[in-house]
Amino acid sequence: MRRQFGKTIVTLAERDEKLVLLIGDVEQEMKEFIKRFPTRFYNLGLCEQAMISMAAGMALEGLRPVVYSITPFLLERPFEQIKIDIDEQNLPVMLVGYADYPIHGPTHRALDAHGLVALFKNIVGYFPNGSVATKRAMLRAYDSGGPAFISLKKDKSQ
Amino acid sequence: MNTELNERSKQVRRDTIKLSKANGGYHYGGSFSTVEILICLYDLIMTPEDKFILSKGHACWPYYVLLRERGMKPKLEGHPTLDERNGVHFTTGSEGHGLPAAIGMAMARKIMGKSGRIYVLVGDGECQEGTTWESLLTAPHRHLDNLVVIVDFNEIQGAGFVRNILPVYGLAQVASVLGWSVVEINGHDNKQILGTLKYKSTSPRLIVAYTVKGKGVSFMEGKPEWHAKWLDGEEEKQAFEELK
Repeated sequence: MRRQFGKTIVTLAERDEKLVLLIGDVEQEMKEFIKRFPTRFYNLGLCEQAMISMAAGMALEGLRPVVYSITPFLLERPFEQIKIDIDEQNLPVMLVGYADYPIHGPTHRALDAHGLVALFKNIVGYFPNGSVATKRAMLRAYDSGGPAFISLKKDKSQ
Repeated sequence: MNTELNERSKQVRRDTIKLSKANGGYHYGGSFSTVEILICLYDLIMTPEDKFILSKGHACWPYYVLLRERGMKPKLEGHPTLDERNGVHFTTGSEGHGLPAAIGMAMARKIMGKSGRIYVLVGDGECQEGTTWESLLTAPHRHLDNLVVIVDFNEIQGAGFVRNILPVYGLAQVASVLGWSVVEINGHDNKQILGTLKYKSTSPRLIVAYTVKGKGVSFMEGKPEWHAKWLDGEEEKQAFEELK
Protein backbone atom coordinates (compact mmCIF):
# COMPACT_ATOMS: atom_id res chain seq x y z
CA MET A 1 0.00 0.00 0.00
CA ARG A 2 2.89 2.36 0.61
CA ARG A 3 4.24 1.53 -2.86
CA GLN A 4 0.82 2.30 -4.30
CA PHE A 5 0.83 5.58 -2.37
CA GLY A 6 4.21 6.38 -3.99
CA LYS A 7 2.77 5.74 -7.46
CA THR A 8 -0.57 7.45 -7.00
CA ILE A 9 0.90 10.59 -5.45
CA VAL A 10 2.93 10.99 -8.66
CA THR A 11 -0.23 10.54 -10.76
CA LEU A 12 -2.06 13.16 -8.70
CA ALA A 13 0.88 15.59 -8.90
CA GLU A 14 0.98 15.18 -12.69
CA ARG A 15 -2.71 16.08 -12.83
CA ASP A 16 -2.62 19.02 -10.42
CA GLU A 17 0.27 21.43 -10.14
CA LYS A 18 -1.19 22.70 -6.86
CA LEU A 19 -0.34 19.46 -5.05
CA VAL A 20 2.53 19.71 -2.56
CA LEU A 21 3.81 16.85 -0.41
CA LEU A 22 4.77 17.68 3.18
CA ILE A 23 6.48 15.21 5.47
CA GLY A 24 7.60 15.28 9.09
CA ASP A 25 10.86 13.47 8.33
CA VAL A 26 9.11 10.19 7.53
CA GLU A 27 10.12 9.47 3.95
CA GLN A 28 8.63 6.30 2.55
CA GLU A 29 8.19 5.39 -1.14
CA MET A 30 8.67 9.00 -2.28
CA LYS A 31 11.82 8.78 -4.39
CA GLU A 32 9.91 9.03 -7.67
CA PHE A 33 7.88 12.04 -6.45
CA ILE A 34 11.00 13.83 -5.18
CA LYS A 35 12.81 13.17 -8.48
CA ARG A 36 9.90 14.38 -10.60
CA PHE A 37 8.69 17.28 -8.40
CA PRO A 38 11.59 18.48 -6.23
CA THR A 39 10.09 21.95 -5.75
CA ARG A 40 6.82 20.48 -4.48
CA PHE A 41 8.33 18.30 -1.77
CA TYR A 42 8.95 19.67 1.74
CA ASN A 43 10.45 17.79 4.63
CA LEU A 44 9.40 20.21 7.39
CA GLY A 45 11.38 18.43 10.07
CA LEU A 46 10.09 17.26 13.43
CA CYS A 47 7.39 19.91 13.76
CA GLU A 48 4.26 17.79 13.61
CA GLN A 49 1.96 20.37 15.17
CA ALA A 50 3.19 23.38 13.19
CA MET A 51 3.17 21.22 10.06
CA ILE A 52 -0.62 20.81 10.25
CA SER A 53 -1.18 24.56 10.70
CA MET A 54 1.25 25.23 7.85
CA ALA A 55 -0.68 22.82 5.61
CA ALA A 56 -3.90 24.68 6.46
CA GLY A 57 -2.25 28.02 5.62
CA MET A 58 -1.06 26.61 2.30
CA ALA A 59 -4.55 25.32 1.49
CA LEU A 60 -5.99 28.79 2.17
CA GLU A 61 -3.58 30.18 -0.43
CA GLY A 62 -4.77 27.67 -3.03
CA LEU A 63 -2.33 24.77 -2.72
CA ARG A 64 -3.43 21.15 -2.17
CA PRO A 65 -1.17 19.81 0.60
CA VAL A 66 -0.74 16.10 1.21
CA VAL A 67 0.76 15.50 4.65
CA TYR A 68 2.49 12.18 5.25
CA SER A 69 3.73 10.65 8.48
CA ILE A 70 3.14 7.60 10.59
CA THR A 71 -0.34 7.66 12.09
CA PRO A 72 0.45 8.39 15.76
CA PHE A 73 2.65 11.36 14.77
CA LEU A 74 0.17 12.54 12.13
CA LEU A 75 -3.15 12.14 13.88
CA GLU A 76 -2.53 11.99 17.61
CA ARG A 77 0.30 14.40 18.33
CA PRO A 78 -1.28 17.38 16.50
CA PHE A 79 -4.88 16.40 17.23
CA GLU A 80 -6.07 19.91 18.10
CA GLN A 81 -4.39 21.42 15.03
CA ILE A 82 -6.31 18.92 12.92
CA LYS A 83 -9.55 19.65 14.78
CA ILE A 84 -9.37 23.44 14.30
CA ASP A 85 -7.15 24.15 11.33
CA ILE A 86 -8.20 21.34 9.00
CA ASP A 87 -11.57 20.01 10.13
CA GLU A 88 -13.29 23.10 11.52
CA GLN A 89 -12.04 25.23 8.62
CA ASN A 90 -12.95 22.41 6.19
CA LEU A 91 -9.79 22.73 4.09
CA PRO A 92 -8.62 20.43 1.29
CA VAL A 93 -5.71 18.80 3.08
CA MET A 94 -5.07 15.08 2.61
CA LEU A 95 -3.52 13.40 5.65
CA VAL A 96 -1.85 10.08 4.87
CA GLY A 97 -0.80 7.96 7.81
CA TYR A 98 1.18 4.75 7.84
CA ALA A 99 -0.12 2.57 10.62
CA ASP A 100 1.59 -0.78 10.67
CA TYR A 101 4.32 -0.96 13.28
CA PRO A 102 3.24 -3.87 15.47
CA ILE A 103 6.67 -4.50 16.99
CA HIS A 104 8.14 -1.03 17.38
CA GLY A 105 6.72 -0.22 20.78
CA PRO A 106 3.91 1.96 22.05
CA THR A 107 5.20 5.22 20.56
CA HIS A 108 4.73 3.90 17.02
CA ARG A 109 1.32 2.33 17.51
CA ALA A 110 -1.79 4.40 16.92
CA LEU A 111 -4.84 4.16 19.15
CA ASP A 112 -8.07 3.69 17.24
CA ALA A 113 -7.68 5.79 14.07
CA HIS A 114 -11.20 4.81 12.95
CA GLY A 115 -12.61 6.16 16.19
CA LEU A 116 -10.53 9.33 16.14
CA VAL A 117 -11.40 10.23 12.55
CA ALA A 118 -15.08 9.54 13.21
CA LEU A 119 -15.05 12.43 15.71
CA PHE A 120 -14.46 14.98 12.97
CA LYS A 121 -17.21 16.89 11.16
CA ASN A 122 -15.62 17.20 7.74
CA ILE A 123 -12.60 14.91 7.48
CA VAL A 124 -13.48 11.71 5.63
CA GLY A 125 -11.53 8.63 6.69
CA TYR A 126 -10.41 5.98 4.21
CA PHE A 127 -9.10 2.62 5.42
CA PRO A 128 -8.24 0.71 2.24
CA ASN A 129 -7.25 -2.95 2.54
CA GLY A 130 -5.03 -3.38 -0.50
CA SER A 131 -3.19 -1.72 -3.33
CA VAL A 132 -6.16 -1.21 -5.67
CA ALA A 133 -8.29 0.15 -2.86
CA THR A 134 -5.47 2.52 -1.82
CA LYS A 135 -5.32 4.05 -5.28
CA ARG A 136 -9.09 4.38 -5.40
CA ALA A 137 -9.20 5.98 -1.95
CA MET A 138 -6.49 8.51 -2.80
CA LEU A 139 -8.15 9.53 -6.07
CA ARG A 140 -11.56 9.80 -4.45
CA ALA A 141 -10.25 11.73 -1.47
CA TYR A 142 -8.31 14.15 -3.65
CA ASP A 143 -11.14 14.71 -6.10
CA SER A 144 -13.62 15.32 -3.27
CA GLY A 145 -11.88 18.66 -2.66
CA GLY A 146 -12.41 18.25 1.08
CA PRO A 147 -10.25 17.14 3.99
CA ALA A 148 -9.37 13.46 4.19
CA PHE A 149 -7.42 10.94 6.20
CA ILE A 150 -6.05 7.82 4.50
CA SER A 151 -4.67 4.93 6.50
CA LEU A 152 -1.93 2.80 4.92
CA LYS A 153 -0.73 -0.62 5.97
CA LYS A 154 2.37 -2.60 5.13
CA ASP A 155 2.64 -4.09 1.63
CA LYS A 156 2.22 -7.87 1.69
CA SER A 157 5.64 -8.63 0.22
CA GLN A 158 7.51 -6.45 2.73
CA MET B 1 5.11 53.82 27.89
CA ASN B 2 3.21 57.02 28.52
CA THR B 3 2.29 57.50 24.91
CA GLU B 4 -0.56 59.99 24.43
CA LEU B 5 -3.46 58.47 22.56
CA ASN B 6 -4.79 60.35 19.56
CA GLU B 7 -8.47 60.65 18.69
CA ARG B 8 -8.42 57.65 16.34
CA SER B 9 -6.91 55.43 19.06
CA LYS B 10 -9.52 56.57 21.56
CA GLN B 11 -12.39 56.11 19.12
CA VAL B 12 -11.36 52.53 18.30
CA ARG B 13 -11.15 51.77 22.02
CA ARG B 14 -14.60 53.27 22.63
CA ASP B 15 -16.05 51.26 19.75
CA THR B 16 -14.28 48.17 21.08
CA ILE B 17 -16.05 48.53 24.42
CA LYS B 18 -19.44 49.07 22.73
CA LEU B 19 -19.09 46.10 20.39
CA SER B 20 -17.62 43.81 23.01
CA LYS B 21 -20.22 44.59 25.68
CA ALA B 22 -23.09 44.24 23.23
CA ASN B 23 -21.88 40.76 22.30
CA GLY B 24 -20.83 39.39 25.67
CA GLY B 25 -17.09 39.96 25.25
CA TYR B 26 -14.70 40.80 28.07
CA HIS B 27 -11.06 40.53 26.95
CA TYR B 28 -10.22 44.24 27.28
CA GLY B 29 -6.62 44.07 28.49
CA GLY B 30 -5.17 42.19 25.53
CA SER B 31 -7.48 44.03 23.14
CA PHE B 32 -6.32 47.49 24.17
CA SER B 33 -2.63 46.58 23.94
CA THR B 34 -3.12 45.86 20.21
CA VAL B 35 -5.06 48.96 19.11
CA GLU B 36 -2.25 51.13 17.67
CA ILE B 37 -0.72 48.13 15.87
CA LEU B 38 -4.07 47.25 14.29
CA ILE B 39 -4.81 50.86 13.32
CA CYS B 40 -1.42 51.27 11.62
CA LEU B 41 -1.85 47.99 9.73
CA TYR B 42 -5.42 48.54 8.59
CA ASP B 43 -5.45 52.32 8.05
CA LEU B 44 -2.02 52.81 6.54
CA ILE B 45 0.00 49.71 5.73
CA MET B 46 -1.91 46.78 4.29
CA THR B 47 -2.74 46.50 0.60
CA PRO B 48 -5.47 44.25 -0.84
CA GLU B 49 -2.95 41.50 -1.59
CA ASP B 50 -1.76 41.33 2.03
CA LYS B 51 -3.30 39.17 4.74
CA PHE B 52 -3.51 39.69 8.48
CA ILE B 53 -4.01 36.94 11.06
CA LEU B 54 -4.90 37.70 14.65
CA SER B 55 -3.23 34.75 16.32
CA LYS B 56 -4.09 36.03 19.80
CA GLY B 57 -7.75 35.52 18.97
CA HIS B 58 -9.11 36.75 22.32
CA ALA B 59 -8.18 40.30 21.25
CA CYS B 60 -10.85 40.09 18.57
CA TRP B 61 -13.00 43.13 19.40
CA PRO B 62 -10.82 45.98 18.07
CA TYR B 63 -10.09 43.73 15.08
CA TYR B 64 -13.83 43.35 14.44
CA VAL B 65 -14.24 47.13 14.84
CA LEU B 66 -11.68 47.78 12.09
CA LEU B 67 -13.17 45.13 9.79
CA ARG B 68 -16.69 46.51 10.30
CA GLU B 69 -15.48 50.02 9.49
CA ARG B 70 -14.54 48.55 6.11
CA GLY B 71 -18.00 47.14 5.51
CA MET B 72 -17.14 43.58 6.52
CA LYS B 73 -19.25 41.51 8.85
CA PRO B 74 -17.16 39.02 10.82
CA LYS B 75 -19.01 36.66 13.15
CA LEU B 76 -19.17 38.44 16.50
CA GLU B 77 -17.97 35.76 18.88
CA GLY B 78 -15.26 35.85 21.51
CA HIS B 79 -12.67 34.37 19.13
CA PRO B 80 -12.51 34.78 15.32
CA THR B 81 -13.83 32.19 12.88
CA LEU B 82 -12.47 31.83 9.35
CA ASP B 83 -14.49 33.97 6.95
CA GLU B 84 -12.28 35.26 4.16
CA ARG B 85 -14.89 37.49 2.55
CA ASN B 86 -15.25 39.27 5.86
CA GLY B 87 -11.54 39.65 6.50
CA VAL B 88 -10.92 36.74 8.88
CA HIS B 89 -8.22 34.59 7.30
CA PHE B 90 -7.83 31.96 10.01
CA THR B 91 -9.80 30.58 12.94
CA THR B 92 -7.91 31.47 16.13
CA GLY B 93 -8.38 31.42 19.86
CA SER B 94 -6.37 28.38 20.82
CA GLU B 95 -2.88 29.85 21.10
CA GLY B 96 -0.06 28.94 18.77
CA HIS B 97 -2.02 28.27 15.58
CA GLY B 98 -1.80 31.60 13.75
CA LEU B 99 1.97 31.82 13.38
CA PRO B 100 2.54 28.42 11.72
CA ALA B 101 -0.55 29.06 9.57
CA ALA B 102 0.98 32.36 8.44
CA ILE B 103 4.19 30.50 7.62
CA GLY B 104 2.17 28.08 5.46
CA MET B 105 0.60 31.04 3.65
CA ALA B 106 3.95 32.76 3.15
CA MET B 107 5.49 29.50 1.89
CA ALA B 108 2.57 28.97 -0.48
CA ARG B 109 3.10 32.44 -1.94
CA LYS B 110 6.76 31.65 -2.54
CA ILE B 111 5.83 28.34 -4.19
CA MET B 112 3.16 29.94 -6.38
CA GLY B 113 5.04 33.17 -7.11
CA LYS B 114 2.34 35.30 -5.49
CA SER B 115 3.19 38.69 -4.04
CA GLY B 116 1.88 40.39 -0.90
CA ARG B 117 2.85 40.05 2.73
CA ILE B 118 1.42 37.95 5.53
CA TYR B 119 1.12 39.78 8.85
CA VAL B 120 0.44 37.90 12.07
CA LEU B 121 -0.05 39.30 15.56
CA VAL B 122 0.84 36.99 18.45
CA GLY B 123 0.81 37.52 22.21
CA ASP B 124 3.86 37.23 24.45
CA GLY B 125 2.15 34.59 26.58
CA GLU B 126 1.31 32.76 23.37
CA CYS B 127 5.03 32.53 22.62
CA GLN B 128 5.27 29.84 25.29
CA GLU B 129 3.57 27.44 22.88
CA GLY B 130 5.82 24.85 21.25
CA THR B 131 4.54 25.74 17.79
CA THR B 132 6.10 29.21 18.20
CA TRP B 133 9.52 27.61 18.46
CA GLU B 134 8.80 25.21 15.58
CA SER B 135 7.87 28.31 13.58
CA LEU B 136 10.92 30.31 14.66
CA LEU B 137 13.10 27.55 13.20
CA THR B 138 11.10 27.23 9.99
CA ALA B 139 10.63 30.78 8.66
CA PRO B 140 14.30 31.76 8.19
CA HIS B 141 15.11 28.33 6.73
CA ARG B 142 12.40 28.88 4.11
CA HIS B 143 13.57 32.47 3.40
CA LEU B 144 10.16 33.97 4.13
CA ASP B 145 10.84 37.66 3.53
CA ASN B 146 7.07 38.04 2.95
CA LEU B 147 6.26 37.26 6.60
CA VAL B 148 5.92 39.87 9.35
CA VAL B 149 5.31 38.68 12.92
CA ILE B 150 4.34 41.22 15.54
CA VAL B 151 4.57 40.20 19.19
CA ASP B 152 2.21 42.18 21.42
CA PHE B 153 4.54 42.10 24.42
CA ASN B 154 2.17 43.30 27.14
CA GLU B 155 3.78 41.11 29.84
CA ILE B 156 0.51 39.69 31.15
CA GLN B 157 -1.22 36.42 30.30
CA GLY B 158 -4.42 34.73 31.50
CA ALA B 159 -3.49 34.07 35.09
CA GLY B 160 -0.81 36.65 35.81
CA PHE B 161 2.51 38.12 34.71
CA VAL B 162 4.39 36.29 31.98
CA ARG B 163 7.66 36.86 33.86
CA ASN B 164 6.33 34.89 36.85
CA ILE B 165 4.59 32.13 34.90
CA LEU B 166 7.05 31.33 32.11
CA PRO B 167 9.18 34.24 30.87
CA VAL B 168 9.80 34.67 27.15
CA TYR B 169 12.36 37.48 27.39
CA GLY B 170 14.88 35.63 25.22
CA LEU B 171 12.58 35.62 22.21
CA ALA B 172 14.16 38.54 20.32
CA GLN B 173 17.70 37.29 20.84
CA VAL B 174 16.84 33.72 19.87
CA ALA B 175 14.97 34.83 16.75
CA SER B 176 17.88 37.04 15.76
CA VAL B 177 20.35 34.18 16.12
CA LEU B 178 18.06 31.96 14.04
CA GLY B 179 18.09 34.45 11.15
CA TRP B 180 15.06 36.66 11.68
CA SER B 181 15.25 40.39 11.17
CA VAL B 182 14.32 41.57 14.67
CA VAL B 183 13.33 44.99 15.91
CA GLU B 184 12.00 46.14 19.29
CA ILE B 185 9.60 49.08 19.45
CA ASN B 186 7.05 50.87 21.60
CA GLY B 187 3.82 49.27 20.44
CA HIS B 188 1.72 52.35 21.18
CA ASP B 189 3.90 54.81 19.24
CA ASN B 190 2.45 55.17 15.75
CA LYS B 191 5.67 56.62 14.33
CA GLN B 192 7.71 53.64 15.49
CA ILE B 193 5.07 51.14 14.37
CA LEU B 194 4.74 52.66 10.91
CA GLY B 195 8.48 53.07 10.49
CA THR B 196 9.15 49.43 11.19
CA LEU B 197 6.18 48.12 9.19
CA LYS B 198 7.33 50.06 6.11
CA TYR B 199 10.76 48.49 6.27
CA LYS B 200 11.28 45.75 3.67
CA SER B 201 13.40 43.05 5.17
CA THR B 202 15.27 40.35 3.25
CA SER B 203 14.50 37.79 5.96
CA PRO B 204 11.37 37.07 8.00
CA ARG B 205 10.61 40.01 10.24
CA LEU B 206 9.92 39.80 13.98
CA ILE B 207 8.68 42.98 15.62
CA VAL B 208 8.66 42.87 19.39
CA ALA B 209 6.17 45.59 20.30
CA TYR B 210 6.34 46.51 23.99
CA THR B 211 2.83 47.43 25.04
CA VAL B 212 0.69 48.04 28.11
CA LYS B 213 -2.11 45.60 28.78
CA GLY B 214 -5.35 47.59 29.02
CA LYS B 215 -3.68 50.69 27.50
CA GLY B 216 -5.87 53.80 27.55
CA VAL B 217 -8.03 53.03 30.57
CA SER B 218 -6.23 53.79 33.85
CA PHE B 219 -7.84 51.12 36.00
CA MET B 220 -7.08 48.41 33.41
CA GLU B 221 -3.48 49.33 32.62
CA GLY B 222 -1.01 46.67 33.72
CA LYS B 223 -3.65 44.80 35.72
CA PRO B 224 -3.75 41.02 35.15
CA GLU B 225 -7.44 40.78 36.13
CA TRP B 226 -8.37 42.79 33.04
CA HIS B 227 -7.19 39.98 30.80
CA ALA B 228 -10.76 38.73 31.04
CA LYS B 229 -13.24 40.69 33.13
CA TRP B 230 -16.76 41.92 32.61
CA LEU B 231 -16.95 45.72 32.46
CA ASP B 232 -19.75 46.88 34.75
CA GLY B 233 -21.77 50.08 34.37
CA GLU B 234 -19.70 52.39 36.58
CA GLU B 235 -16.43 51.13 35.12
CA GLU B 236 -17.79 51.58 31.64
CA LYS B 237 -18.71 55.18 32.41
CA GLN B 238 -15.22 55.90 33.71
CA ALA B 239 -13.61 54.18 30.70
CA PHE B 240 -15.62 56.32 28.28
CA GLU B 241 -14.75 59.42 30.29
CA GLU B 242 -11.02 58.65 29.97
CA LEU B 243 -11.36 57.85 26.26
CA LYS B 244 -13.19 61.07 25.39
